[in-house]
Amino acid sequence: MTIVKHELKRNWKSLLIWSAILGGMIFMFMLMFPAIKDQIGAMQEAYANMGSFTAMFGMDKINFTTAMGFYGIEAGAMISLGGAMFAALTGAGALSKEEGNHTAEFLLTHPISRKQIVAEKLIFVALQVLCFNLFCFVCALISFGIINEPLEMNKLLLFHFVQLIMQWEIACICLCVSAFQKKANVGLGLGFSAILYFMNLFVNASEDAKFLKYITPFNYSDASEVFSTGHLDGVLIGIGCAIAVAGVVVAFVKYCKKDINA
Amino acid sequence: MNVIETNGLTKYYGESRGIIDLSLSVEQGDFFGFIGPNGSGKSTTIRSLLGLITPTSGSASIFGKDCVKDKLKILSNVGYVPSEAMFYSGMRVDEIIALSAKLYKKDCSKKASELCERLSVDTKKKVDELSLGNRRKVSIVCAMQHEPSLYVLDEATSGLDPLMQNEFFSLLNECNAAGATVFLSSHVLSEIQRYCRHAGVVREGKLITVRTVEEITKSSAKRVILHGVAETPKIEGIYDITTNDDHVSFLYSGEMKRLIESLVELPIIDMTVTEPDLDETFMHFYGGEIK
Repeated sequence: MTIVKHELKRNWKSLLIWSAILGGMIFMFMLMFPAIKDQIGAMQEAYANMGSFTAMFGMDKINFTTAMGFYGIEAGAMISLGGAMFAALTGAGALSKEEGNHTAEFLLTHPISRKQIVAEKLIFVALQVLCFNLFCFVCALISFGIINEPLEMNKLLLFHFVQLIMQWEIACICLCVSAFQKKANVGLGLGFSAILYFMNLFVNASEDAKFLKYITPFNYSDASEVFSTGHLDGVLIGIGCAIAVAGVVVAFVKYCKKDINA
Repeated sequence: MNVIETNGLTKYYGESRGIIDLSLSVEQGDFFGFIGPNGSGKSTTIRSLLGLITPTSGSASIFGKDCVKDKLKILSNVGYVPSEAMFYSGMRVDEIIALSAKLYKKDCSKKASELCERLSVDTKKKVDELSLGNRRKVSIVCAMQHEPSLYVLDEATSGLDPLMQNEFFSLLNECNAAGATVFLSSHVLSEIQRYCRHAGVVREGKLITVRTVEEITKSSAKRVILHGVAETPKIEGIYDITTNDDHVSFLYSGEMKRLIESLVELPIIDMTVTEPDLDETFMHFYGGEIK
């Protein structure tokens, strides 16, 4: 576990910054809620007539005049996108940073197998993303407590749980891609999560794009689904997990054979 | 027993050549120099030995173990100083050294502090603030603290000042005397001449020759430039002559004494004797006495 510890130690700052920003956003949105609660009713009426735009953000499914609904639409979107980006960056950087910063040579000339390196990096990524999500969840709980609005615990738990699954999936895919690269690619990680996010907006907006829900993990983790139905889509999550596992396997195979050049 | 042995080791990076059919053996306890110009395949050989890259064909073994299959067993007993030492930014020198020891699963704190003292390494500094030479010293500590039985050094002295180079080589000599094998790659002939017992010459990915350093020294030439005279002394072993109005330059290989004696009578104003650059040396290896 030397590498796990080493990575956690090196990356706690990035964890802190991302958590603070996302946590701050959750507080901002939720503390705003009591002040604008009364106007939201009018807003929802306006949105209701905007057709597929309304559907895109799931506003046809949730009642966002309640604190839970508001959380799902506003903070939920932030957590989804922000969390996915954090996971993508963490996953994409875990292996390729070593080569980009020329530390791979240092690490790999020690008696530690590449398999173990990938395994420990994977554990690090999983822990890093888990800590981030725990922090967000706690921020959500506190903010509901502060504004003293009714909270549906099981739905909130379910939502944050499925966020974690989604972020792990994205991190695994990015780790897989990064095993093929020579340098840490920040743009790729961010772009990848943005594309998947927009893919889900299309799924929500258009019948023709429904098939994309099998690809993008933002669909099974969509706040409007979780909050309106109160349960998860096992099939989609299963597909997501399978993709993640496949990504990890490919990363293992590729990284164990990779030439590390100066 | 051979500590390092390669058989027809070949590595291509796509189309471009790394090394071709390189067969080399280094005996236990040897101080082996591996010399060649930049891009000749020294690092490629080392990287294949350490399992950083997979050879295209051929095989390599260290301590009689296969470099691909038994990589971990090999690495736990090898100390490697890379040609460009890079560390995790933001970490302190002592943290890097401790991390390295942890990865070797060995408590090396005593040896480490001894090495840091001898190489005057400032362990409280951040690695980002280190100069090339100081980074090199840290990687020397990392390579030596677990007291391996094989040292692999890739142009390990570049960036070190002469004082440190001396200290470094006396450290290596001590390890060598205690039985460890040293494999030193370099493009500086004099370094190899001074410290190594055997040397392999590599050029354009191929091993040209392996011989004792004495033989190489004997056959290696010096570039001599004489100011104030217009012609060369009349002795054997002089070639590649260029004459100018006020100076003459030539390569000389042979006994130094004979050259000096032949120079006594000449009206020399100034003279320099230098190592020929490596290309000249290699020209010599190709076109000179050694075939």
